[in-house]
Amino acid sequence: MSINSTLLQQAVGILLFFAVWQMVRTLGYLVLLPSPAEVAVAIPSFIQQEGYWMSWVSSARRVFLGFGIAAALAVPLGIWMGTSTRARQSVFPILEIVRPIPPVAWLPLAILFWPSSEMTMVYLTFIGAFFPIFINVLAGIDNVDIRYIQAARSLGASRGAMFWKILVPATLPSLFTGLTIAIAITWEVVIAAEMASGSDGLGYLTWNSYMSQSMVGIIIGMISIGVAGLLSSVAMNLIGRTAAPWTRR
Amino acid sequence: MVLRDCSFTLEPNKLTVLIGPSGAGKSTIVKMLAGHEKPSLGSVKVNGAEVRGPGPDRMLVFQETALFPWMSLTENVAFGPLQAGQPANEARSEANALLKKVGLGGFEDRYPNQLSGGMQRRAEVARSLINKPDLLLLDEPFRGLDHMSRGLMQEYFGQLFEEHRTTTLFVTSEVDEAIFLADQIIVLSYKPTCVKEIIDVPIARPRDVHLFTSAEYGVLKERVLDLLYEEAVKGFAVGAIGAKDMERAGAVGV
Repeated sequence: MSINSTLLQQAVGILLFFAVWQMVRTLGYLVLLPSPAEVAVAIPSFIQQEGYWMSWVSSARRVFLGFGIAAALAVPLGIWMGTSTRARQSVFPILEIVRPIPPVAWLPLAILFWPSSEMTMVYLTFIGAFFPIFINVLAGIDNVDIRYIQAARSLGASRGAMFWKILVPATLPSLFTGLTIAIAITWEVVIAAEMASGSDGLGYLTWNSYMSQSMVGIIIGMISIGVAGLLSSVAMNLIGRTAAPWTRR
Repeated sequence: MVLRDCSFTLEPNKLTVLIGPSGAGKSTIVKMLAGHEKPSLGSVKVNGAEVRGPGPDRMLVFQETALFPWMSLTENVAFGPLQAGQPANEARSEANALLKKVGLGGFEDRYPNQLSGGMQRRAEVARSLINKPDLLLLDEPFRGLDHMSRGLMQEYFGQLFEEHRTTTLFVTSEVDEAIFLADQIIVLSYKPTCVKEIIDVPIARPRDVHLFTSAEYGVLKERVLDLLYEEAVKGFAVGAIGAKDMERAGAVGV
């Protein structure tokens, strides 16, 4: 299927969604919800409101800060544990106990621990991003085909080449899988954190619309969050494909 | 125990084929020679020196392709020379020349997964040959290719061998492939694996498909098949006993 007809089909799917929603409202159901038309009309004035674009900036800053710190720690830790049995045996069990705790469950402790709510929110996004990156780096290293290592040894690879030319590229696709999952999770987490303890950001914007009983505001807030998450995932995907061009077909 | 007192001589600059019943340990032999596996007891010696690990003097071409998927063909083939300290542009131009020689000119910048199975095998042979190994080891390199490509690869590999004449040990389980390629065939016995018989293949090179209809081919094939059959029956019998045990185990509900 050509790219054009794929795009067309996707556009039809999205339009159909809004059409059904509009129809339901026209028929008089779900009266609580604004109709797509009402939302569309409200968008221009809403996004010109003071603070709307700042909400994007605030949330995005938290996401990328937490995500960046998580990646900076999870990648070396994953490599270390993937290449050293001793490291894995001593560190892995405790990480496995901490891992199932949902990021939002850290909120009470984080509020008490961190001096500012900003740090609390960044910390939560960090927790959300850390484990998917870490686990995928580890899995990537575990799944490096032994034949590549053997071939590299036969070809006389130095230790440096074994790491940079074999292990790193072999792990790269899995790393980007982790990063793509992580960026989506950080958006989920930052929204929850902002609703709970923020004073700005897209999560706060949505919550604030609820407090001021602006149904249209809630919907626009939600759509904004969806678009932000989508853009982040697409960007991460593009970076991944550029960094590992051999995975493209 | 797979191998015991197994020693054989490879004629320099000749192509020796190792053939034996499945499960005999053909792969184990080449992996040990390449240094990827260690014997649980005893030692592996090549030219009187103990094998202490892998090295570019003994190159192994794997069963399914082990080309690095993240490197272009040129980068794959140039990897060995680069690691040996050759300057980058020299290594690359040598790699490209060799790729051209194995019929992959124009595909230098492609990634392995953009190529057909047969092309990948040729690139991998090139990646081994560029290091000018004392010994080239191939472990059923054409397995998994369709019948036609396999035939073409055999012909191609035979021609390539005539050009470089690297001492080669080629593992296969196909009698036709063995006779078509070999200067001598080593038939392995089934456990303990050892050399059962060495058969010379005095058919002149270059060889082509007409070989398969010649009289001497028929004689050789019968000889190899007889030997293999004897050993395969042993292996099969062991399997049969295993199956009987399983049956009994099932009957008493183990």
